[in-house]
Amino acid sequence: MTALAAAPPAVVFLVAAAVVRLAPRRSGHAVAALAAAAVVPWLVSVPAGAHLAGRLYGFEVVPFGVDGVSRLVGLVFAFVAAANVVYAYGSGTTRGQTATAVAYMGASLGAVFAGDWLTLVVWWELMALSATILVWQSKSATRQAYRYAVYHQLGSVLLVAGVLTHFAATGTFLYADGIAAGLPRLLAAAGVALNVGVLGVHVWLVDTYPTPHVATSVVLCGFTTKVGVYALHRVVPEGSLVVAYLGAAMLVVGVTLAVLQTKLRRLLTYHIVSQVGYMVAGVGVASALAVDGAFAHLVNNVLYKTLLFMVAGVLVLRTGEESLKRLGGLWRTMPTTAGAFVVAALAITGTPGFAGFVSKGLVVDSADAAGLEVLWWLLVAGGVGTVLSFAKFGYYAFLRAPSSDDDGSGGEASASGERPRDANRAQTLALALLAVPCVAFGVAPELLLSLLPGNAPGAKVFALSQFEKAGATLLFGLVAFAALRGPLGRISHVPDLDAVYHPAGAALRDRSATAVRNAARTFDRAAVGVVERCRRVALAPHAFAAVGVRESTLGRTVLLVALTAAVAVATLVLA
Amino acid sequence: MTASWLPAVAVGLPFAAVVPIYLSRTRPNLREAWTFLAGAGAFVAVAATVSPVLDGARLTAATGVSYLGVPLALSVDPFGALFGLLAATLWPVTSLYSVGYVRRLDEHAQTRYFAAFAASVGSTLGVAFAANLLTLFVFYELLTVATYPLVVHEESAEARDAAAKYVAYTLSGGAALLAGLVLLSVAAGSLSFVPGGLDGLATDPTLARAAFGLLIVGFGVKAAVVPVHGWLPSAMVAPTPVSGLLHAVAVVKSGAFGLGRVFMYLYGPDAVRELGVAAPVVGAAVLTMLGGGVLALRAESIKGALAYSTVSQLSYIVLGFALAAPTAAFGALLHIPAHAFMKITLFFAAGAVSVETGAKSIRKLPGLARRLPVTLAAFAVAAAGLAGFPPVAGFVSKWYLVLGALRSDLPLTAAAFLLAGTLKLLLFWPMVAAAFFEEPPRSIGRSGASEAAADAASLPDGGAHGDVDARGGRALDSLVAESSPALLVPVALAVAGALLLGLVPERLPFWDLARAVVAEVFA
Repeated sequence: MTALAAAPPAVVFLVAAAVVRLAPRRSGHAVAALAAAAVVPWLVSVPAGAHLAGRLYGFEVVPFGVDGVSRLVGLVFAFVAAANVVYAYGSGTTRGQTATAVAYMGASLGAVFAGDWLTLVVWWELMALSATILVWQSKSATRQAYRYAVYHQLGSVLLVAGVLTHFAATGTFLYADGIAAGLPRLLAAAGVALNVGVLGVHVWLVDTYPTPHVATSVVLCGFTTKVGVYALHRVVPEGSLVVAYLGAAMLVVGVTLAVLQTKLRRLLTYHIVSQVGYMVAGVGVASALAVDGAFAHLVNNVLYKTLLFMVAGVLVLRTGEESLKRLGGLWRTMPTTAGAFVVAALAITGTPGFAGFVSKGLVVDSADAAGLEVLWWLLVAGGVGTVLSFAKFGYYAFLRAPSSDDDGSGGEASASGERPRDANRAQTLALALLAVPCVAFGVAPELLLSLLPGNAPGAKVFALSQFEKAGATLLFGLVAFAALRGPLGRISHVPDLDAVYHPAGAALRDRSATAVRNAARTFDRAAVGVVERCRRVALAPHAFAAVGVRESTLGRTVLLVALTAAVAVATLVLA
Repeated sequence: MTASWLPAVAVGLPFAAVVPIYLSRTRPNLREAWTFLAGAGAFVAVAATVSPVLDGARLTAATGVSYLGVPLALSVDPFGALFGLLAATLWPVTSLYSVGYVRRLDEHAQTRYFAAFAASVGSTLGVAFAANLLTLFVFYELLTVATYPLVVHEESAEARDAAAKYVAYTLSGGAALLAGLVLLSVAAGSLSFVPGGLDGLATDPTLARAAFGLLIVGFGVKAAVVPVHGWLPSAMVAPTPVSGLLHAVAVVKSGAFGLGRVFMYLYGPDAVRELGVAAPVVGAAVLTMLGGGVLALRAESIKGALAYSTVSQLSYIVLGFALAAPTAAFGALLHIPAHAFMKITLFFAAGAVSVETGAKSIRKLPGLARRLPVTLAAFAVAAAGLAGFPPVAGFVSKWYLVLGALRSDLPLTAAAFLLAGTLKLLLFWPMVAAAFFEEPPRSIGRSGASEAAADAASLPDGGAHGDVDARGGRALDSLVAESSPALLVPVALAVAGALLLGLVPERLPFWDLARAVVAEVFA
């Protein structure tokens, strides 16, 4: 066993979290960022295989399993973790918040490098726990944190049920060919689907991500859903059409709802749902090309989505505004932030020369290669929607002049009336760290492709058709924005399923609690009443004579009861 | 079957301590020393039984007294050793806590308290080490008598009512137990505990079923199974260490232990299946798990919530035994110590909170973690364990219980375990969030800039435009007034136990003892 496989990387993160909490703020953050960065070369050079095999709770486990997919996901997690710590330092989080964030990112790494289902479940639960604490620490988001915990508990319950039924069927937790087909697979996929944010259960993302501290949103956006995608691939390695179309639905519906949003982070969160849809579609198609595309897209997405949330965070911190309608013209006073936004937007829309171009092309091509026409059209349509919504974001936040905004509130671009300053040094460093790969992976895609597990067979990265598709998407998206800008500007709030789930859940909890308590009280009163009655009779039989029950009648009744009991016992004994 | 003085010492020492405790009533430190001496001695005696028992020996001690041919005798087997080790480990910890608690509150009748405590633990060890059902019954009833002074300790009207209710329930259960014992002795001809069950029960199914029903009711009262659980929430009027050790560990676990004896050593899994008697118990256990979990949501006091949660958690053990399958039984056996450590941590933390701040109601929780960070951190860890989060003990036992249910004849009961865990999360998370992340009602002395910065950092926009200078120092040091060591050390020990059981359960003796039980019963 080489020294590189002596401990899973999650352990490094947990130690770093303790250091952040206990050491002074600057050095603690520096140590954590450097530790996370050091994990990147470690993960590049650790040999593939099942390391540290042992026993946990009486079962065989593999705490540190490295293969092409887990290595890739782990690499991007570690890299983004370093950038996130730097950003957190610059955004004024407390040491406790950063420590929890580092622990959460460590738990995500633990889940990715699990070589068996038991280890995965353990880290999965720790991810949910640390994310709940992280959201709690933004004290304005206590209720969202509670709801987050409840949603994730429901997902965990399904995953645990799936994993344990799988064990009951196969006798092992070690990864083999995914989860056993039938009920185990259904349960496990349902549990993972909640973490992934499949349509119908995507509402927790929109409920939680936009509300806490901006650095918390930055951390959260890159991990839980991506671990979910990774787990989905482990559950269903040979894919399924249902999953592929679920992904397409996530993409299209997610981007439509994103276009309708007016709050910065809410828009970006719907985009998480949408972009994860690309990945889920790839996992569903599950050809070698599709899996490569899905995970390449995961890597790129973690990079530019985190970058976008960082941009949104700087905007919120500097202007105090979350609503797009009250922003404008910020490219002048916040050029760095605007530049980062442009890089990220070009990446997410799949513009040639930027990261997303390659990975989107892979996923779309895999749909084509598998002969799934409808899927292909849905994926392309989703691309148009993405362009539309980022045109909207960029226009409202950066481009348009502040005095011409639609609701006539006029004046300066920020609520306080000052010209907002740009990102500070730490934030700029974080933005730059993430912007570089967004460009590098687009200009020199071999850098990413060489890391992919399947080496992307049949990828026609720079074929003319790719440029055509990208060009057409951009064109349609921009035209659509120009056409729809007016009507879009009039929409303010779009309700989602949480308007149904949350009141229903609360009502279910409260009504059943009250009903059970009333039933318990009635029963208790009846029981106490009977005992009380017996006690009074036993202590003062004469009192009953006074009420009209004659003593002889009482005596006869007692005799009758005793005789009946004796006969019953005798029957039982002799029979 | 080797004769040994270890079981007699283990059971006898706590009882023997009662007299010196009374004799030193005027010198509190000497009086407490007797408790600790007896605790240390009992622990050593019990610990010494573990290795021989795991090697297959059965350590016995006869008293020479017998009733109608049934001897009153002690015998240590793996199941008894598991329960006895738990009780012997937790008694010294609880005694330390008791000392801190009663002295801080300057309680009256401390001598009676410590004497009754010793007698209760002695009875519990007697239940654990009983060689047959009659001996178990004797110690079981002694337990009721010994715990009465503890429940009624406060001597207020509420305490008297609660104690009367407690005695009414448990003595009625005892009567049912006696009736069942008699019928069983007629049906099977013997009352000894035999791994896998007594022979000859199938010859007279009606009698066997009647005996079974009575035994279940008798043990079910102490195990707080719905509908005979009513005594437990009102018994919370007792002092917290009493609620902790006795009503979350000794008394209720005696009931669960008795049920385990019935399912594994008197009837055995095969007879249970043949007679078809498990179904009502399974139904009652599921009802209790879910009903207790839901009722806890409406509790107003912290201890009330913990009481209902105990009701619910005990039926995990009952259900595990009732499923009459090896993995489920293993899960139940793991849950006995797991739940004990977690629940004791919660009770001790709640007691420390009530001693240090006077807060007994859930509504007083907001912001308490600023004053008692370590205590409430232990509370949070134990609560996470009850909800089933790793690396606390509750995860491991939940894992085995769910797996056991899936492998048994009734796989759907796995859903009950998972749903009950969710109910615990719904109960405890608002409490933990209130203590750590909500503002206390009145400002308890804000210490200026650093605290304002820390608070500002938690808002979405960082609380200000421009750079927020969060020095992030320990701004709240001046507010922390942690519990006294006598209260805090037991809390820390209990939560450490819960974490050890969750991280490395195979290294602790409970694991091997549980394995031995399953091996001999389900052979």
